[in-house]
Amino acid sequence: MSAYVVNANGVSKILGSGAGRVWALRDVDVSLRGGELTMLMGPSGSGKTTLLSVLGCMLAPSSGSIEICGRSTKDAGPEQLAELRREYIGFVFQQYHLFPTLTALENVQLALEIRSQRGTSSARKTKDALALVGLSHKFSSYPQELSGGEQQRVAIARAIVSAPSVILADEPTAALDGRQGQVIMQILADIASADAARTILVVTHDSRLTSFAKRILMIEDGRIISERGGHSRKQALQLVRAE
Amino acid sequence: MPLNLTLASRNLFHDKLRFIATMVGVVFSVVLVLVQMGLYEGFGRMVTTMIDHAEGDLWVMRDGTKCFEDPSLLNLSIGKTIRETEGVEQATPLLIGFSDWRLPSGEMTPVFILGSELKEHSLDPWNIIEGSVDALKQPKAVAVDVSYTERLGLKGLGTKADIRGQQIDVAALTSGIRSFTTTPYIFTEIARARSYIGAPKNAISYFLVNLKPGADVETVRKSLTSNIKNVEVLTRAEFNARSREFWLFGTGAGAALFAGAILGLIVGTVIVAQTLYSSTKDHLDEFATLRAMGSSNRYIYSVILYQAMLNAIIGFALASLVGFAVVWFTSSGALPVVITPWIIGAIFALTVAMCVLSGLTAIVRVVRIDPVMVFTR
Repeated sequence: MSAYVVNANGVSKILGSGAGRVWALRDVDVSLRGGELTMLMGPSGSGKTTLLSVLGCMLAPSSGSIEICGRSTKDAGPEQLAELRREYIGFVFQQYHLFPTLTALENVQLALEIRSQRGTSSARKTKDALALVGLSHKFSSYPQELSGGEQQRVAIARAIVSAPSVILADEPTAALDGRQGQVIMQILADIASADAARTILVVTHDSRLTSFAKRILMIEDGRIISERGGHSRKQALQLVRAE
Repeated sequence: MPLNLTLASRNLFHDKLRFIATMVGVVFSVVLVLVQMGLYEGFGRMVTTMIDHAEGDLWVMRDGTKCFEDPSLLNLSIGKTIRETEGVEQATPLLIGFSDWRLPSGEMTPVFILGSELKEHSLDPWNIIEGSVDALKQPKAVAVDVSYTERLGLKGLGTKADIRGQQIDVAALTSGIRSFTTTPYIFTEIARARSYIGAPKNAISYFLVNLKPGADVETVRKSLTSNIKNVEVLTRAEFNARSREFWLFGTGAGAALFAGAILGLIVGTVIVAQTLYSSTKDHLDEFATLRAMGSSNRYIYSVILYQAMLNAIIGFALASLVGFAVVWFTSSGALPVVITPWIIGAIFALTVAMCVLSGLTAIVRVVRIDPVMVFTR
């Protein structure tokens, strides 16, 4: 069994202040193991994105502790949190968030440049990452010249190019049609299983995708209410029909 | 090319209308500053043109003389004391003053008379295009500049007119010796200058002193000021600086030029700041994405600062073209715009500083970016 890459213990997060105070997360314990793709599911407003933000070192928890690859986020300021993200985390966003004025190649290369990686080795890694997501023929394309699925694949290449230990994906298929969504999830599942030291957490509310997960965490009202293994493809289809 | 520079340049050129607006702002600002500084330099050179062309190590003048055109007078007799001073090789008198030039039609125009001994190490006309300095030794002979042809009714060499009721003959024509006061300069022999100006007998304005090789300037200066009462002795550089200071700051002309330059800088800074701020605001999602990806603030600032620098470089290059056109158009005018390498260097530095300062307003906006916003947009 692989070691835990992410450990969150008793994490709570309060958003807002005064009368507008909201407990977005309450005493959440989450551990993510290397080589696994975990799904985080729950209704809107259940705290999925807040948990992703806290685990992704974008938000500091109000209480509790988080460790990424053994490094605690306690007392880290904005620059230290940015450094942790740089070091260990890759993100895939629902709206891709590619840079419209940069080509696919440049978009991916940017993830290396902010890590001070330049030169021929960086160029090779960038091309390899794009090849891994099947976009070797789209190096010079600008985002607006790519389909939604291709843009998301560029975003995945950008997330994996620096070989992070953690990949956090927020609704990566929400803006795509069913077929393209399946392709994206397959790519993420393959990436997770290819490296025992890397974990992937995918936030989704699309039950059809559960077959790609090894574990599924259900969240509601800021609490993890259940944790179970992923469904088979058949189970997933039944789930969809039931819904 | 590093990607932060690529990103900066593509963001800059992506919105062409905004880029054009920024360039108009930068070019307007830089041209304004360039012209003001060029006028300052041109004016500064014009007010000292006579001092710069006079061949003397020291100027002896009446105590308190403010500028070359000052009407204070000395007595010619001090020349003997000056020449007898240890270290002095030669002392030549100069006389200056205003008079009136009457055309054959009876029309009168003010002129500025410069009288010298018309010998070496004095203040003789230069850039002579017709006639010669020797020709000025003839009775009634004067030299004038061709740029005043119409004003003085010149018909080439041999033109006749009269100054203070005395007939004169134009024996030499110069080119480019223009006065910042627009009053034409008239070069002539010192005795005739005295009668044209109506100055008292033995009155002179300056003594131009040339030192013997190896003579110490300070020692000679001390000897002259202790031997002669009520005079000041200045080096060429000192007299030059005093004249510039009087005309540029004593009259407020320099302050007005500087005020124009500062206004240009303020306008440029505001325009660039506004466009950079709005560009940054439009690309806020991208900066938030960079931040979410783990980029340091420094890297994000570098994108904005590169954008500011590109604005500065492109704007300055365009403004320089306009500036050189202005220089060319004004080169033969009464007050030419003069652009020197130091002006170019200083204005480039100012342009960069202006754009970087403008970039800081955009940086202030980016500092407040919350990377979490990438999940909500």
